Parts: sequence; C-alpha cells; structure tokens
Amino acid sequence: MQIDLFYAPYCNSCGRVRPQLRRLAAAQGDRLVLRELDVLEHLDEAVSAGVLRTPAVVIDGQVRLAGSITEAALKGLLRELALTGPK
Amino acid sequence: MSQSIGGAAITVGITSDTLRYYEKIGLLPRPARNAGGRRIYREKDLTRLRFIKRAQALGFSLQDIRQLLRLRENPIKCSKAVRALAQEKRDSLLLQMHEIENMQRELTLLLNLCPGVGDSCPILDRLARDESRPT
Repeated sequence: MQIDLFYAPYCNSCGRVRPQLRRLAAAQGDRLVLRELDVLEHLDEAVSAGVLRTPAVVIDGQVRLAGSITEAALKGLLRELALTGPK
Repeated sequence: MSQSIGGAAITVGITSDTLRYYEKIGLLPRPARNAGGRRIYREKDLTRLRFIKRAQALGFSLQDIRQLLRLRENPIKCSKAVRALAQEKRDSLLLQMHEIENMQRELTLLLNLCPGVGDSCPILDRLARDESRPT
C-alpha cells in the first residue's frame, strides 16, 4: 500500500510529522510504501487529491489526515490500514 | 411589471443602445409599446436579455446565442443541430467548471501555505518555477 505525505519546506508541523510517519511506516515493513512529496513540486497531484493544507496524508487519492496531525492520529490511521489490509 | 428601455437596460446591466441592437438583429422580439409608442419590456423580455448577457459573458457568439434561444423558446421542437450545439456548449461549461474548481482549490492551498509575512511566499515560488520551466 502506498501512502503519500504532502509537505511544504517551510511548514513547521510538516517537519514534525515527516520523521514520525517515516518511522511508523518503516515499522510496517514492505507492506507500506511512503512517498514524501513537496507540495509545490507536485501541485497538480495535490490539488487533484483535494489537499488544501500541509502536511496532508493521502491514500488511494484521498486525503485522510491534514493540517495539525498528531502522532496518535498517524498511529490510528496505520492501525486502521493494517486492519483493512493491503489493497 | 413592465419597464421602459432605460429601466430594462439598468435592470439587466446593458446599455439602451445594446438593447436596440439586439432587437435589430432579431435576438430580441419587438417589444410591446405603450400608448405613447415607447418600448415596454416585460419580465419575459428581461429573462431573455439576462440569458443573452450570460451567454455572451461565457464567450458564446451572437450566432450561437441565436440558435440557443430557439431551443429556449421551444425545447420540444428544436432541431438536431440546435440540440447538438446546446450539448456542445453544456459540455464546454462542465469542463470550464472543472477547471475553475481546480484553480479555486489550488489557490486555496497556496493561500493556506502563504503566511502573509516574511520573504518566502509559495505563490511566488510556484510562479517563479513555472516561469523558469522550459516551454
């Protein structure tokens, strides 16, 4: 399964969320592929997915988390993904 | 309620000259006249004028508008050609709406990224990147 994290270089909470999600995704092994995307480099993709703020976690083309993302929210999302299994 | 040519022009947001021109080229039927012989415009005329104005604002030619007005006058008896034109215009509008929606979302995202203070502005960054990209 692929997770896209859209971030902006000068976005403070992006700097916090990126390593958190990187660590959580790594713990899932090969089941998860994390792409970290600079939102300005991938603007069309971000807009198409409905990203309106950063950081934004997008799965299957849909924004699942955005803005002030807590580590608990990231863990909850990954738990949910683990339960639903790979698509 | 009926209106004079000046009142109708103000209501719709066009000039009296434009209104007379529409009448001259047949986009608007000859309006009724009052006892003094002056044109009077009824609500039906005003809605037709608004349709013309809207269509023009969307880039439709007067010739296209003339065709579309036929469909508007009698949807049941419209020709295949007029129906095809209306479909083409409708599809073009849907595309424009999609483009407008995307642009609105892109600007919302850029505005959310733009703190409004300091030197770094993502909107300017984005524009600079687009300009430096080879065409």
